Amino acid sequence: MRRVWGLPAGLLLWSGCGDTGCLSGNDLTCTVPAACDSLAFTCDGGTATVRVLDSLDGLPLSAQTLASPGDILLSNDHVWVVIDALDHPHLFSESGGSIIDMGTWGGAGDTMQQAFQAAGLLPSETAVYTDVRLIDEGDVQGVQFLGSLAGNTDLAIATRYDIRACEPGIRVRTELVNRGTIPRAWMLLDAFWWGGRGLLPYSPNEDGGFSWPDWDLLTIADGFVTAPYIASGLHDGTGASYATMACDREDFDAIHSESVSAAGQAPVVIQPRDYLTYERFIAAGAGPSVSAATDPIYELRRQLFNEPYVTVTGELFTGGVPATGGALRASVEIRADGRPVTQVVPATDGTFSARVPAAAALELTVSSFGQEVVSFDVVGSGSDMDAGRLDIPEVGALDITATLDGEQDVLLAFVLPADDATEAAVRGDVYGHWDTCAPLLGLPHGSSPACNRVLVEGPTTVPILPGVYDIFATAGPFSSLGVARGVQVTAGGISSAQLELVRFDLQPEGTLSGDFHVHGGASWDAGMEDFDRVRAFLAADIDVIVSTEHNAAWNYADAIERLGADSRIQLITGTENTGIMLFDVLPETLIPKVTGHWNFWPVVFDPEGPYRGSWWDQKALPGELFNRASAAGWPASTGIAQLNHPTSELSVGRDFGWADTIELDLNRDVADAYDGTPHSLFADAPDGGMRNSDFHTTEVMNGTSNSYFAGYRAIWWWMLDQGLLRGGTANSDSHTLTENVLGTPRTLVWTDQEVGVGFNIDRFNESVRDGRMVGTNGPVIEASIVLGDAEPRLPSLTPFVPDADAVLHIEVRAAPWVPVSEVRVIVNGQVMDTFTDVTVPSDPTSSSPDDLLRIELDLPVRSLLPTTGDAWISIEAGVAVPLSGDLDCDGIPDTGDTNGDGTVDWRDVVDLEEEPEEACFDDTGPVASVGDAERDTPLWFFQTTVPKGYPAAFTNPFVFDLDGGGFEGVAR
Amino acid sequence: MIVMWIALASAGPCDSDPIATGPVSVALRDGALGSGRRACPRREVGVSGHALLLDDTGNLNIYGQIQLQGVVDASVAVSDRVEVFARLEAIRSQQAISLAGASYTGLGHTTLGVSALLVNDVDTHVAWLNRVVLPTAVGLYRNQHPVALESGLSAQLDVGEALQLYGQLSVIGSMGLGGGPTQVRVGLAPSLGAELTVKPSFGVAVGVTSGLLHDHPFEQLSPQVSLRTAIGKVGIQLDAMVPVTGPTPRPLVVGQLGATYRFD
Repeated sequence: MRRVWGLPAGLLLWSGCGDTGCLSGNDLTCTVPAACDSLAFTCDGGTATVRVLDSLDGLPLSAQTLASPGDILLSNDHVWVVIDALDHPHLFSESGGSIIDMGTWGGAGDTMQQAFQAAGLLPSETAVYTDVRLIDEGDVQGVQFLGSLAGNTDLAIATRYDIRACEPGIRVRTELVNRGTIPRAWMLLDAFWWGGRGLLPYSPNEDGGFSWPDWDLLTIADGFVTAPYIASGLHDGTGASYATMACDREDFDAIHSESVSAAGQAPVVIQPRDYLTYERFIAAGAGPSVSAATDPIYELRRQLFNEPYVTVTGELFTGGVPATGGALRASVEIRADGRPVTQVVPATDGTFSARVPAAAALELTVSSFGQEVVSFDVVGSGSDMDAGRLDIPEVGALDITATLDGEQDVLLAFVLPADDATEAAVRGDVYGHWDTCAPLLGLPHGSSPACNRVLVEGPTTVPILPGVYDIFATAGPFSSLGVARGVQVTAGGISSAQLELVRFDLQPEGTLSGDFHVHGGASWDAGMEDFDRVRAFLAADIDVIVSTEHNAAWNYADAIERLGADSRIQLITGTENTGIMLFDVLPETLIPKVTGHWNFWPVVFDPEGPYRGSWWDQKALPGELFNRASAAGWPASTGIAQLNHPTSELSVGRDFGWADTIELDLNRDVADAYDGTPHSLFADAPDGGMRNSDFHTTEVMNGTSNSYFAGYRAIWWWMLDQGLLRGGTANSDSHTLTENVLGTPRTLVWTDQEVGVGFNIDRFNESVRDGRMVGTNGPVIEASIVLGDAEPRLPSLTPFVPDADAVLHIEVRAAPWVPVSEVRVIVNGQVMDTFTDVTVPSDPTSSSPDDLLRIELDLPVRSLLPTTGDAWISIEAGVAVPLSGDLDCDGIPDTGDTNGDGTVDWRDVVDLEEEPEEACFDDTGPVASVGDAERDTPLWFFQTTVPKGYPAAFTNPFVFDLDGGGFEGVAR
Repeated sequence: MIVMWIALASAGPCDSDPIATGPVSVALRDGALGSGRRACPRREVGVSGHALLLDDTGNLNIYGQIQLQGVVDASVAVSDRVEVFARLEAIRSQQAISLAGASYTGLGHTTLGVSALLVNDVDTHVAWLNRVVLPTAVGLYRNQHPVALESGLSAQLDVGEALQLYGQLSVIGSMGLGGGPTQVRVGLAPSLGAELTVKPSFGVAVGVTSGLLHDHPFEQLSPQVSLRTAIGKVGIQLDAMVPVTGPTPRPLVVGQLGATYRFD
């Protein structure tokens, strides 16, 4: 009998008394155990606190900082960390509870975008926390979040963040329990969102370092590597670098891309009632070196796993002086016994120091200007090692001076190889990432210099690899092209380039030039600091900037004040509602989506708001976004909501454009309400409020290369045909000096407003809402409908009845370096006429104001219009739009003539190797591109400052109410 | 060793045919908890292959599961009325289908049981059935180990020369052992059906099984079918079950193919 009763008693003992943490039930009073219990750091006078922020006073704020009152601050003598409040979710999280800011005191600012917990890649596998509690255990200060995976309470998750005195980071423990009835496949991990253009992940596994396997959502299993820790660094500026490692196992599994890393446990089957725990340490270090964050990791590994480390030191010199100048000037990657272990950027005196495993052999590889220049072997001795003085090849310097109308100003200069030999010799990249640049003067997405571009203000000197260079500069599309060609740079020498630009009288009287889609350091995918961002505003010689940071608002106030730019630039604070969290955009859908990107302006900047004046913009259809924006203070009756880049490629598995999300079919008419087809969502009113189509403008040109112009204008024309009168804009979508040239393209707005005090945003927006605009990256179209002495009628969305004798007057002007070969007249979405009798300037580099006018036309309006029904007319100018085809049959051009055979067919589709059987393809693209022009051709001169672009301009429409009954669209 | 032990045990009273008898035995739960089991004691050993397919792909979720098991089971009639039995998932392969995927292949659960005939008339057999499921799938569990118990009645009623009705009602309970949730769950597992046997070598059984309260108030309703035959002393059966109602996610289909050697 004793045996009979002994078994259940033993089982109960096993099941009950061993319970710890929050694994056993839904008890909100439970406490998750502290993580990494065997770690111990000591220091003099260390402190640790946790508190709910009631203000941001005392925090070292930057554009990337997202902290706001209500968030939780963990702080000690080394680092500070902000966890967002439950009702302040950011980016990928539906609730708070994720790390949104992390920096070091007195050292480095916040460069952390977000770190959050998940059990997989789908929205249904992301932690949603519903309860938060601060933990005060004396020396241990922490905060604990309880919740579930995507609100499924059967899948319970709890995370505790701890901070202790003297520690270079925080400890984290997560518990994930399957309280459901079916097995699950989970990988419990932290996902680190780097943003794609800031921090670069680092993985110390064989063949790792700054390299990792390719993967996508369907091949994620191929992307996992096993590593003792992961890190990130190599950013621009003075921000922090980060590293994380597991405490409860020697190695963990991780995947990386330029945008995201995830580290934790590889996927496993979890039976009902079973659970996972994950304990880790997240460290922060000051500066761009990976070693800033991995140095403390090596101490952790010594304590936890008895792994000895040593410190390797050295000095880098070039030409007898310390090799300094940031991560691009000299970056040392260190391998221990063949495995990459860390990377370090020398200090200003050329010295460097990094902890590495106590290995038999170390290899130090130095990269400079995006090229591996030298490797050094160091024999390990088991103790600290001094590699001594290491010399790397000497480079030259380029001193650039540029003036605009004889005055010193901020200008953007492009440095290009003058010959093929230089091109081959100076091409470089950042460990195989981001843009390949020739030459690589700075991190492509950092501050100036970036890639092959430099902001010039007075004599500006940049280190550069030896070679022969051409230097070009413009002050936007309405200036001459500053040129200095054949500049020889030698090792150790300083060469000069003098650029003189003049501003042409090209911008039509009564207009302001605007760029309504601009990002900066407050966007998670733009690593550029405010000061250079505002200098780039000035270099574009543009009147109105709408700052449209992803999921937040920012006003650049400090930088604008420092530069005295407020009299030259009218900055309107806006925001770009950027779809990040996948959700069921379409009812009953299997594939979660987002709703693309939407700009709103004006937004009242709130320096302490969780989104700095913007609002939570996830999991919402456009109409719902409009309602949320209105509720948050965006003036729906006078402000602008803009459909950005309506169609594009997926970005990180997310639809970039709304037209793609809803599979917009231009062969179908707009539906009044959702009818079960994705297309019908276009004008649906999702929550009974504003319709998804209640936006005011749509981008017809986006980005400097303008590669989607054919698709964007097809969608815009469809809207106009449908009677959905929306203004067409042209915006750069510039994020950095490299990711699109700010102000190229831009929108010219006919308005009675002027930059400076007294600028009335509502009045300006009134013009934008009415479509009194021309979009351009160079050509300037002045089109008007004239009749006798009456006031000429400019493009506008306001319909009118034209007089029988009215004339359409067209003038096209452009700077000499902007090729214009044709003018197109579009009527009701069809190219009615093309005029090619245009003047071609003989010298693209001319500064003469006599070479601006290209064509002047007078066309009888009635001869252009149909005999019945309403109509609209738009004018375009530039070079011929590259040939495009619509291979998926939705009416939107999607594929260019990539093989150059004069037709667009399946052979042009990059993913097709044989002709599909069906007439309409699933695979399409890439879109049409003009590519890189041949040197010294007119298009090449244009592309020197408009990379990969081709000249294009369009007017907003003249809208004709021919039947007098109001404009209700046109016959299709 | 087991075979020798079985061979030495005594024969059962219900009949001496090798063909399977009683409820459809295909199992929905781990360790065959709550699955149908004959009332009549037998002395036999068998092997079977089991498959379960679950699809939880739906709104914003991509998840499925394929379970395959190779099972060895044996029973010994230790008296005219009492049988002890064991079931071992000698190999269990569990493949989770998701974006990342995950799998387990190794030892599965072990079930030990005993049944005792309470009624043993000419045409009525009622047995008290007891099972315990032990957490022997050691590589499958990360931290928490499940155990389960079952106690119930299994009845078989001859209503004609070849037609037999059967029914089973068990109380099932399970819990987790470890630092995680104990989650004691108790419920009912009813089954009902009929079998037609064309002796000595062909039979078919159809029935329905359900579950109450253990995982949900009403778990599922599952039609079952079993095709049975015998070659010599080897009984062969092919069983399938399709849960048609109840909360989701639930398995799409469960099946087994087995062969049993009867010593009597």
